[in-house]
Amino acid sequence: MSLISLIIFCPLAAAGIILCIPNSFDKVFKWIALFATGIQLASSIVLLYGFNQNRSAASWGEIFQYVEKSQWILIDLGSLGWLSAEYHVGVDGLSIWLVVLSGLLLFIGVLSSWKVKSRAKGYFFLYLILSCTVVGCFVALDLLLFYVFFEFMLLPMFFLIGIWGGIRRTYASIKFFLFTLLGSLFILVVFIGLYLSVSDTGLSEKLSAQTGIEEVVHTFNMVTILDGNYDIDGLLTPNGGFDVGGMPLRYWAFIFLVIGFAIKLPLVPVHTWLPDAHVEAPTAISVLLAGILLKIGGYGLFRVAYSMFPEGAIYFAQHIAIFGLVSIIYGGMNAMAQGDLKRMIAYSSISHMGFVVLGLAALTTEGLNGSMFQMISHGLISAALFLIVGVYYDRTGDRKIENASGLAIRVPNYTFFTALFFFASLGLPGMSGFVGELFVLLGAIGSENSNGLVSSWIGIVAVLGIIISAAYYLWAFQRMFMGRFWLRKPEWEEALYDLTIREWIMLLPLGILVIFLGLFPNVIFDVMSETVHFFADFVLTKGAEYAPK
Amino acid sequence: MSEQLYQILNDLNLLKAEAALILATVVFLVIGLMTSSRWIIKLLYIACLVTFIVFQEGIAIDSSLIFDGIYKIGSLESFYKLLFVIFSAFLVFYPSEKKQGVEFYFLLLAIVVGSIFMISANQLLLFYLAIELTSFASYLIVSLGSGTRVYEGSLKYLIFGGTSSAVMLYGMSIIYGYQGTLILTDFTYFGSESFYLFGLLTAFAGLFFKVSIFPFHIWVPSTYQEGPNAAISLIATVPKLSGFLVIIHWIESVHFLSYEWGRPLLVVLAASTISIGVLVALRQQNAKRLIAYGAIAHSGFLMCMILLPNNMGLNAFLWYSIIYAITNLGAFMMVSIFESKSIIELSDYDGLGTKNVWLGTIFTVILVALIGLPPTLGFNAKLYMMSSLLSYVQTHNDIWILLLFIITALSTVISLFFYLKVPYNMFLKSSNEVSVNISFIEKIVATIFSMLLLLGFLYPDFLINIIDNIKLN
Repeated sequence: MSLISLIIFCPLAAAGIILCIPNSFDKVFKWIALFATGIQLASSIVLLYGFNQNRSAASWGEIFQYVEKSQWILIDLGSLGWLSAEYHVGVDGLSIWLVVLSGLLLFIGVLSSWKVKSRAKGYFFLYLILSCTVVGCFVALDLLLFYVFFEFMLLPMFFLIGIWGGIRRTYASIKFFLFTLLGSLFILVVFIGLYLSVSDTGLSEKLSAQTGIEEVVHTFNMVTILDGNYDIDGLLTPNGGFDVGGMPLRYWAFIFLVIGFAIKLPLVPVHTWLPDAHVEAPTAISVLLAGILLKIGGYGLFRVAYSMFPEGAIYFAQHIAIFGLVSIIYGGMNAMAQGDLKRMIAYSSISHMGFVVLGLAALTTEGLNGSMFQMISHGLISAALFLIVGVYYDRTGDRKIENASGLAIRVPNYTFFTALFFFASLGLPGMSGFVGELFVLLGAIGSENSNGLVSSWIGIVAVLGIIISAAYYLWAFQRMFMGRFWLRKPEWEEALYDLTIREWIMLLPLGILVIFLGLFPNVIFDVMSETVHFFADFVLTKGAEYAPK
Repeated sequence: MSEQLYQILNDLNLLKAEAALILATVVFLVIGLMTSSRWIIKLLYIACLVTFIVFQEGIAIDSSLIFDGIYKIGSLESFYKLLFVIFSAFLVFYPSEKKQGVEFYFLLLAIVVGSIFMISANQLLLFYLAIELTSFASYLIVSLGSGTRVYEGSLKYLIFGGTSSAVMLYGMSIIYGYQGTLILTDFTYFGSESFYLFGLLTAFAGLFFKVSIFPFHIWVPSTYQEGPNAAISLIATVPKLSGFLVIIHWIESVHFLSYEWGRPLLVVLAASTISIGVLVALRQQNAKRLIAYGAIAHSGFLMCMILLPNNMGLNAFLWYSIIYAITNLGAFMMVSIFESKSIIELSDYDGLGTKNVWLGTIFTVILVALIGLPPTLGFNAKLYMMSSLLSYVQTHNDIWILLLFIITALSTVISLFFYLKVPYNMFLKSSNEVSVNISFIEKIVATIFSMLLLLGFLYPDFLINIIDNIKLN
């Protein structure tokens, strides 16, 4: 079995095994889950090790490595032509780091679920299915396959939040499901339009030879679409002449995709599901939600919206940058107003994901690199922050900032990690958060003079976001950890103890990585630089070519 | 004369499967009346259906008209006949209710026979006989339900059904008057003579009643709620699908889509059926009513593919109809399993998932398929339907169909909201943590339904091969 398939299906197989083991062996489940995600992590590292970062490419077909491809659905839909979908996976510089990040966080997520007692079987079963789908999303090179993974993620997530979540879990899980399903329908509509406009010439000829009549095979293959094999009269063919409401249909499609992925990202104003989902989700699920699931929104923008509709990306660059900016500022301001530590971190996620959008909108090499780096860095930092909250919540059952002070005296190790990740998140130089935000800002401010897409003032105002994040993190730290030791309820004092070995194992690697990537960001940049260069060139040149005449 | 006789005898040979089924049904009634063992009755019922399969010569049959053009055979018809027979065989695995003796299964067989003749009928009289056979058997079987308000449901069904039959017959007689023939394939495009159009529309209204298209859907919820579950799941699938096939045939015969108002009218009907179905389902508190309103919405979806030109919509219709039948049989089976343990209202489902994880999971899979989400076949059905709509927009630039497309997309979000209520109550609430004990065989059959939906999605080749074998004319 090939490496990528192993990464995708290993947790699924483990889920199958869990299903067969009776409930009474409830101690085994977490070990199976740990083992399966361990394999995922190990094989994603092998994948990274074997990844050829110097491969230069002239077309999308040459970019992807570890490609696996086999026919999945090939059906005759009458005069619609044939529908072809493939099991087609592979990685490039954009997705490889996200796969590794998922491997790491999924593994840590199992560790942080170690104390799940109630209905452990169901929990780890759903967790493993989630593990399968998130990785599948990052490696899928077929729109239908991507959509299936994208959509199938919702069900396990719905139950994980809805069953094992906090007090308002049912409300949060339904809200999460409805928002993201609405978003994914926007995406599905565009996917269907795309597949109807693109045909696979090789497969068409092969089938025509078999049947003797001329056959047209429409395909969901992303590479075929990216390489621009559009039909002449397709619905979403560039300059195809389909206008709705005075705007080319392709612009609408781009807007639909941006809305769909923005809900996942999430971007203000479609972010409202996120704070609720985060606050109610169990710790491990919050970690995955912030660390990986939000990245799927960003990745989707890169892979689908921007690559397939480059002229939309150029036309709407300024608007999207402004939405990014609003997310940065509004998310930050909201974070400052929160009294609940977890809610604060959830809003800070919105703020930091705004940087991803801003860097992407600028479409400069710095901006794109920064945007990708920010995704990786935010994945590590936000995951760690939710673990930090989880540690405190496990002991006291409370998350209110105002209910504690002077924790540094009683739990020094815990305080150390909290400080580390707070500083990393607020963008202290020397840590990974700084690098991502710096590059995004460089790209956004420089865009006006290089490609003229995004005005400089947007980048300049976005700097405020960093100041705001410094404000809420430092303020929260000062209130909770500095000063005289005090807790709202005396019984919490007995429950409060410093980090256990399991928690060290979860937090230490993240801490080391955050500092390491802050000092040597080139580790990340080198691997993806070829792809990012190609991506930037592609979007700019094709954007000009596809622009409505 | 002798040549004609020879021709008839020859044609009879092509009808041997149907003849065998009718004969077996009569024998079944006679033998069944002599025994009271439920097991023997169920076995005999299966035997009747097997008789049909034995005499049916596969689905690779060339299309032709027999008996002077009154009976249509072909691979499409044969396929659906086999499908109907196989689906009705599953009904014996439903939990038994009180009044289900031999007459119950006899009526089921009558519905199947009627439906089989419906899709093959190419003459108005034969068609009317077939649809009335189905309808009368349905009216009777609904009144065999065990609910407290069963007579309300069955009477409603009888009155509405009788009226619609009368109206349809009236319309058919007007059509006959203008066309001068009863044979559907001999019909010609008759232009916009207003009385003829009146006849056409009344005839179609009768057909829409049978497939529960808005505004002729009002009988559905109470009938579905009060009727016996096995019968209802048959009524919701077999006669409904054959009704749709008849509509396809009629639309083609009378050149319905050649009228410039023809397609917009069907679009409006489909859109309002979908909207009414999903919006009213939101307010339902009873599991069976919820599935019933969902089934109304699915009628609207099936309608979407009928109003496209045949070569665009028929393939998607084949997929959708097969998957619709599987999901609905599964859903009604689950509801009836729970109902036999007096879990009826949605609130009765609270917390059931904790003790009955497997049943809950199966039900969730089936409901997810009804919503149309991956990884179930329901997603394929939705995907092909939406593709065919959008591709019509692409080739014809039709704003009506674009609107319909948007409605189908939005209704998916709404349907998520109500279908998910069941798993939501089962798994996310915790009050009624009792375990539901069901027989092993019921569990197996329910599992088969959900596995079909999952595996069919992952390995679609099996279904693709079957559907490719149906030669569409």
